[in-house]
Amino acid sequence: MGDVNLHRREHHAWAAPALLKGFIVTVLIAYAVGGFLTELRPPFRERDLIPLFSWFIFATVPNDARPFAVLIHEYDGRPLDPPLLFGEATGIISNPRSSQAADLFQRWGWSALGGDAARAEGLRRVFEESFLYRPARYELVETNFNPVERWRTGRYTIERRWPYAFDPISP
Amino acid sequence: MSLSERMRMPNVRWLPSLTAWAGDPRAVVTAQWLVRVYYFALLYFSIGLFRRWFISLEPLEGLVQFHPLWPVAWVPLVSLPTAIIIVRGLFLAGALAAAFFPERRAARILAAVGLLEFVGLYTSALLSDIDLYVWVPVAFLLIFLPGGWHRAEAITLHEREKFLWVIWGCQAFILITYSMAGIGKLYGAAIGLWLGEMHVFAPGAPAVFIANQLLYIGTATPLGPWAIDHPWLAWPFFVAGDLLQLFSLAAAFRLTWQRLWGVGLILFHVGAYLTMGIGFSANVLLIALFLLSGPFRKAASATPAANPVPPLASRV
Repeated sequence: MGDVNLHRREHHAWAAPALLKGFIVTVLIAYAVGGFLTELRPPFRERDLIPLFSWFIFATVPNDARPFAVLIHEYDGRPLDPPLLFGEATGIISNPRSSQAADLFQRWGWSALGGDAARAEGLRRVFEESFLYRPARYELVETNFNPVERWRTGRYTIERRWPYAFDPISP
Repeated sequence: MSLSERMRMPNVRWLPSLTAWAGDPRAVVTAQWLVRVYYFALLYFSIGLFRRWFISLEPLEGLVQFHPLWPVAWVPLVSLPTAIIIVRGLFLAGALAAAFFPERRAARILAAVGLLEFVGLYTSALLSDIDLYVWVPVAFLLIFLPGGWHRAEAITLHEREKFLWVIWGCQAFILITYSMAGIGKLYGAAIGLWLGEMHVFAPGAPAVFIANQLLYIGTATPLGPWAIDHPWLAWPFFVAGDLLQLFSLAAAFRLTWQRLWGVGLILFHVGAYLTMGIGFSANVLLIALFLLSGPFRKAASATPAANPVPPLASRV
């Protein structure tokens, strides 16, 4: 009986690291496969299933960048001529370089483009409550530029291609 | 072959052997300190991010209702300020408990849950900040440290080996995220080639990436404008960085490569900061801890394989 117990203890001692190794390797593989599968989910933060993440960062070259942006026509009763992009309204907007705002514009734009009016409206409200603070007349647009050219010359074009009318709003 | 015999064999032959390292007292002590410092750092984050976190969330009240990530799916059930207090308290309590009692599994579980909740709430607020993403699986894996690991002299060789396997798992987690990023770049390059568009390995790609990022952050970086103007000089560094990421997981299997690879990855992050303004400081700390200061160093054990009966094992 003593030998059997000794054998069991010895077996347990060897089995434990092996089981742990198997567990760690399984978790690692599951993490990688699960992370890659998140690429099949919708874009932006909704894609993340923390801690699963694909880590596909800077995987495609934004040679023909088309980010959404807010074009401000009037702010706090003052017309802007020419209209300014939110991100370039330094001295007018309190935090024009907010990455949160930039991310929000992308979600908002894709919601609008996808016809999800309720979600687009919710994000518009968040934008006005969190980043505008003053009455404004503005519109959500799609910008189009080559990053290197825009960095050097500041040139970009604006496109409006909404599946439904999106009028400038005065909060 | 009996189960017992099968268990005696290396069940996965391509994994490194840590048996000899488990007998090296310096390797084990290094790993012990590594765990302690990890939880000290977590405590620092739980307090250090207070102000940043406060500013990030306070003006955005109501924001979480739009898309709370799964760890904070419960937030809509309470008010956002209440949720912030709960998550903030949980993260601080968990980090504090694990910093003082890292040997207690309950403390480590609390720290992992607190961190997961914090990262969940933080990233639910439209923040494109993935700094702490790798810290979450590492905290999860550290839960499985064997009992009594903090007193190496009192645990068996096998328990110490288990302890080192958990540390190895943390290293592999850190490294696999870089390899996944490298695979993503390969995938992106294949798509680019297929569509006849510029891909990540093209000589002009670094300038486009950097210019786009500088436009996004709205400011110049120390080397960004220079790299845009000299794409052929910046290109080899970018390709080297991509390849370094792609093959990172190899360092999990070649233990002696880990320090060198850690230095490479940190330099990669320094380069990304100087050109694109992307710091990823929390990851740099993880690399410094688990790869640069990891237990599997030649200095810690001159010839681990040639020392199958380590001194501590005989004492145990």
